[in-house]
Amino acid sequence: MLEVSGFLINSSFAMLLLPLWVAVMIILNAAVPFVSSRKLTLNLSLGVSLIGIIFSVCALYFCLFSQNAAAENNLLWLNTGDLRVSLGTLVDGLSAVIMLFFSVIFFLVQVYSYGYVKEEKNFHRFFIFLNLLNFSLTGLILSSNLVQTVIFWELSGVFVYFLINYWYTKKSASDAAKKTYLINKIGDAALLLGVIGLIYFSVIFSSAENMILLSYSNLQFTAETLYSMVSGKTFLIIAMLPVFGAMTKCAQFPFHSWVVDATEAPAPVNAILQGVIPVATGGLLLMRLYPLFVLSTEVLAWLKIVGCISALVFAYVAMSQNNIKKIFAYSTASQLGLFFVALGIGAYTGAGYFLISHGVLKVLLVLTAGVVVCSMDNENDIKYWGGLRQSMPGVALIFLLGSGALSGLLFSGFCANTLLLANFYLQDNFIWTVVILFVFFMSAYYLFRVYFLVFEGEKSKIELKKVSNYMKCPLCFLVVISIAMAFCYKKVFASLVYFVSLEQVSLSDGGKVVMLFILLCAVYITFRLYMSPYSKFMLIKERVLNKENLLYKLSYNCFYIEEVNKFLLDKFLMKFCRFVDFIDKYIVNGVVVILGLTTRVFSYLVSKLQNGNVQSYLAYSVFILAAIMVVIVGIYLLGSLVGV
Amino acid sequence: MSVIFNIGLYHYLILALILFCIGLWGVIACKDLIKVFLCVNLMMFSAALNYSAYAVYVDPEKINGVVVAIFIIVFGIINLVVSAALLISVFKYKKNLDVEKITDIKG
Amino acid sequence: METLTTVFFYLMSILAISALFGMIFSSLKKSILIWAFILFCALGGIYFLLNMSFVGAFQILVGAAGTLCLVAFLMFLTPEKINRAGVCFKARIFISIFSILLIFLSLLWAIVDNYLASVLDFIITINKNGLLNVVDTIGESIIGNYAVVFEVTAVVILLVIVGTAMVGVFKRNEESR
Repeated sequence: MLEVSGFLINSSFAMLLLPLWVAVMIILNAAVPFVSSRKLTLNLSLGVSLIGIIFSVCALYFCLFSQNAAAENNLLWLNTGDLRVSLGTLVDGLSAVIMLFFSVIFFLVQVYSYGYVKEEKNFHRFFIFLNLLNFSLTGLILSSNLVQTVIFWELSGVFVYFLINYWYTKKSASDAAKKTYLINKIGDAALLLGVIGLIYFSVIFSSAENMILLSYSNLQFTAETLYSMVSGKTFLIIAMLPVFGAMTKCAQFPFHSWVVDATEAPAPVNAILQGVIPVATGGLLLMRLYPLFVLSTEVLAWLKIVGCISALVFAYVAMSQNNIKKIFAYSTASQLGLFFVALGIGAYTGAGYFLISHGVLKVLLVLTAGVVVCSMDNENDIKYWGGLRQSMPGVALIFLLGSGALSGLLFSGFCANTLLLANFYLQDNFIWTVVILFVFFMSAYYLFRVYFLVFEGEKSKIELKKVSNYMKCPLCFLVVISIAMAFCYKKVFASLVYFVSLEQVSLSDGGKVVMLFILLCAVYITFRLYMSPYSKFMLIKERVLNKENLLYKLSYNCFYIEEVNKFLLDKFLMKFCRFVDFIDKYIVNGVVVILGLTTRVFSYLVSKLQNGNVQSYLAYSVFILAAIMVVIVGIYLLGSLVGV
Repeated sequence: MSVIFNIGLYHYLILALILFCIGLWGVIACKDLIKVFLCVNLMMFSAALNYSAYAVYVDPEKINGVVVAIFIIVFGIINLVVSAALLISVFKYKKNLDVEKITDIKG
Repeated sequence: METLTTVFFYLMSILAISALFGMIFSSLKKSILIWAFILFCALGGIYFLLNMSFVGAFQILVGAAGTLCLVAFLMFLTPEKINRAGVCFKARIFISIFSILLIFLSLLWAIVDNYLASVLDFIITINKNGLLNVVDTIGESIIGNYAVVFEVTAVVILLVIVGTAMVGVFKRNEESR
């Protein structure tokens, strides 16, 4: 078994290129108009994901039981003097775990996508881009150094753009795709700047000859060298820039709006955006670069601040939204904020577990919501829903289990939340503990609010459509995965994903009881508010959940962040853009036009010489001959005059 | 005066030069293609004259230049023959031999 | 004898130059032929003056008569109604006159400068004794030193005959124009 997995890991380049090959095969399949079969496309994509699952299970086995816990393959890609960039794959505990998560989720999402876009005209295009995204994310997860990470990071951004733009005739979808791409570009630029800075300093200070540039296995050494060599501010800037890259991909506070707008995309894409992308790009980057961040307390503080703001603000905003997709988008931002806080506080393993658990559960919830939206004829507003439990009891049960798990009552969500709480509580961070409990409270509130509004209460009048089983089966598997994850934390996860200098802690039973009590309180309040006409609660509901109330307005409009952004853009950026536009139109363009006109006039004059008459050409050449002769004679005469 | 009346090498050279230059001007100025080719021929013949004058005055034993002059005359005739054939086919196409009207090589 | 040479040289050169101008400016077919004939014969006369009767005769036979025959055929084969009148006056004519004058002056300067410096002073007179067997010398050097050139010339003439015949016979496709 160990030999088999070792062999598979050594051929990990093939694993990397397989999705690309499948994408090409699907293009060929789609190019033939009458023969092209949708089943074939599905089977190819599912096959490559299945191979990915086998590969990652082997990788997990290898990392658990092999003596050397990491396997690295590298190819020298660029060799210019001091700069040696290599492309390669690194299979260690972190990448094995995330690869397993990624390939399983991707497999299920592809099954779901088949049901979702079965009838669409551009079926093959969807799967082509899914496979290309699979390729870029596999490359990102398995990348052995930071330069390769940047390359695949940009690639994944491009394919995410195409996937969001799947319904490109829809104005809102194409706008959302543009917004996603532009906002992520800010983070990409920051990451690129950070990597360039790291390359610059590591090339300057590196003493070892054959070291791979910025390889993750040597990152601790590199970071410590850098910390001892450069000044504090430089180190802070270099360490801070990749955080911004991760912030955009994880939809943290100033950059959150893309994930809200991208809900226009198809449900599976939405699930990938909210569940897989943050784990495989931003989260993975933060966990990979953690040796760098640990050295600077400012960066950890920044992680804490950003995460705290996002977690509180977006949990608060999600409490009052009516669009089910937007609720989950804000919930994603809020939960990933908790991940940031956990990293900032030093809970490396707990943060990783929380991230992956959140990924699975968020994919589950978004896909379930997609099923419901599909059956409700694309009605997103939960106010028009209700009482769906009678017509689709299975989906209702799955949704209940999923929201319970995500809010921390059940399965892997419970484990993750207790881990976070343990880290906060045992490190004497009382304020942080209160904050995180408050966030848990709000998450439980908005998740169960959705459940009660959608599945309980009065039955809605909208007629239900049938939903294919391809969309329902993956949901059951996701619940099973969530249950399984709850059992394999200590034996598998904690021994694979860890940071050497940080100890792992667990919560006492009392703490667990307190947490459960708070969550159940939230569920009870929600139940009372939305389900039973109990007088006191109705009074609160009328006073607080009122359109005139300032707190409600702030929550409903997301603290007017979008409006402020728009105002600032209109006020300052657009004026600057108009100024630049003026310069471009009249000064830069004018110079070019004048150059072109000069050339044209001159060529018009010169072309008169090319009149096709042989004798004219002869006359010109005779003229030139005469000029040459005059020059020769002149030189000779001058020479004789001077007396040389 | 003896310079003018004592005919020597330089007189032949200057005569050849004058003929050459007028021939060149004729090539450029003549409208008729036949005249143009006659002028080209004349330029070659004046070069031949130059060669033979040098041969006679500088190298009287071997007179290599005279041989070259003979070859030049022969090639002049060849030139004229080829150009005659070309002129005939041009005439078939254009129906005249006016240089001003034959401007097909215009770009 | 010297006077006769001088008179003959100037006569021939004036004849050649005036015949050249006549050829360039004449407008009638006949006069072009006559002026060209006179021009090439005058050149042949100058070869006689150089004591090379073989080359002179060659010039008159091949250069004058052969050329003129060809030109006569050419003129009959290309019957033009327009006036063959001589010279057009355009910008290029003045450019060319100017540049040809410059070329002429610079070459003349080179010749006269050479004459004044008398670099070739020792060969200013003809060695008349050495030119008695000039035909033999020419024949020997053609067969000896210039044999390759001679053969190449023969091949070129053959090619020219074939090529000229092909160009003349070749029928142009009317539509392809």
